[in-house]
Amino acid sequence: MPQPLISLRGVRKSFGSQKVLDGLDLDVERGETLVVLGPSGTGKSVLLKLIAGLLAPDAGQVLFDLPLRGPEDPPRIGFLFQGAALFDSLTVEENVTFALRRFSSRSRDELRAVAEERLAWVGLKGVLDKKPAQLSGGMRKRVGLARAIATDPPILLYDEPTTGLDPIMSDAINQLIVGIQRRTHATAVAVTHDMASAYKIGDRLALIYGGRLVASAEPAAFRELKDPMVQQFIHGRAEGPIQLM
Amino acid sequence: MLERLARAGHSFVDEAGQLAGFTWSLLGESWALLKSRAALRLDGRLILEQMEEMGVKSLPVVLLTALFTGMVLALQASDSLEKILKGVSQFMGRTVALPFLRELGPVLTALIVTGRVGSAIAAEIGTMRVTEQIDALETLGAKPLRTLGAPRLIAAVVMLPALTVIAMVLGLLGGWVVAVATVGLSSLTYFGDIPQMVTLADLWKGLGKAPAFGLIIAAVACQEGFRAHGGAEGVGRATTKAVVTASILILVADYFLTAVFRTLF
Repeated sequence: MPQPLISLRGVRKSFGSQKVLDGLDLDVERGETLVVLGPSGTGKSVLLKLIAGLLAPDAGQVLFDLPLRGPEDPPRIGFLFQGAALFDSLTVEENVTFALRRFSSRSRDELRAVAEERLAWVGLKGVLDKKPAQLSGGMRKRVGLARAIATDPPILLYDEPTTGLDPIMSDAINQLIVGIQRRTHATAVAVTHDMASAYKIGDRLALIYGGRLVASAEPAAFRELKDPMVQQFIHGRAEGPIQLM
Repeated sequence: MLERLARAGHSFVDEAGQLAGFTWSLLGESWALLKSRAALRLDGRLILEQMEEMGVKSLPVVLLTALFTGMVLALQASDSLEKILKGVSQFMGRTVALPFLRELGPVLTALIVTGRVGSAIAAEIGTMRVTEQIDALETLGAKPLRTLGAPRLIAAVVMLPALTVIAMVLGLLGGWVVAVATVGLSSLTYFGDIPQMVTLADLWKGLGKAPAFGLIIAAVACQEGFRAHGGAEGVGRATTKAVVTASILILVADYFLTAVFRTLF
């Protein structure tokens, strides 16, 4: 049986007295897109930052079935942040090629060509020389996506990819994520509380609550799970075992 | 009461330790940036941009402040000298030059740069922190301290002495304007009096403080920016704290540097 690409084993993370993850066990199989669901404040973004190495777990382990990364190797994780997190002082081209400039010896023209190509993948043209402030929310998100995939990382992380977007743009972003997965075969973890997005992009859905994994299943099976927390979350009911935070 | 004092003391020691540790790391990253050709190729442009931001764009306010402080100093000196002994305004050159070269030039410049640039550094890095841009830097394989902190530290350590020299010159010129236009001294008397008491050592005593002040401004502002949290309010808090802390540290460091330089020169 193949090893999962990402394994979280007994991961605990607290901020002061607030326990966010409490012994979380979670596997992400190679090539799948796992969507992690959960109400606000349940540590979904913290989970992504632990996988990305931006935070260290208080206990437990985050394991990768990948060769060790050398200092000259490009990052192995592409991260689409909730607000895109584009660098305000750089142009779109400089944002997209930021990691490439550090980890490859490509010429300026080659870098520009890569930026153009990745921006075309996310449906953007003629924005190379613009600054992030000149872009709409949806465009910023797409530039963030182009930046995340610029170095062809084997792992992609999406933090609330559709938050703050209108339904049409949300659907467009969902389609882009599916298209990028087909094109790159990357292993992806997306966190969201948008069920439409989850069904569209996820090969498997997982619900976390109280710092632990409640359930996980493929989308069709997830819908049919009898777990009251899963049903409460899917149907968006305020009453039920999941308490409002 | 004692318990509160002990807690404040503990907190002060803790903060001082954190700042010392951060400054040490920042110095290490700055050195790593300067000695690596590859790193300079990537982030060298940022050093020049920061030098322009700190040096060139701070010039007007430094010029004006130094000029008028020199003028005020000359006016006050004229009054004081005349009170001590009639006709001793001829010593105005040294009276303006000595405090300006040793103290006012470096300290005024540092305080102005703290207000103008230290606040901007803390606000910019703080905004990057709360909008996850610093997390993005890390995921893209960059070291935030090297990419954001080191160019600012290098620029501050280089530009503070340059601005200080300009402030010293403008201060002396401000004094000269008053000496000639108000007190009626000749230019020769004013400038000729300066070397009678002021030596090159006095210039070094003042100029030697400037890089240290640059280090304080950059380190404190970067640290507060990196520690910012809690959205716009957090960025505001970080900015205020950066300016207040750096200003106080500059004045404290000024005392100790003066004491050290007195024994050296």
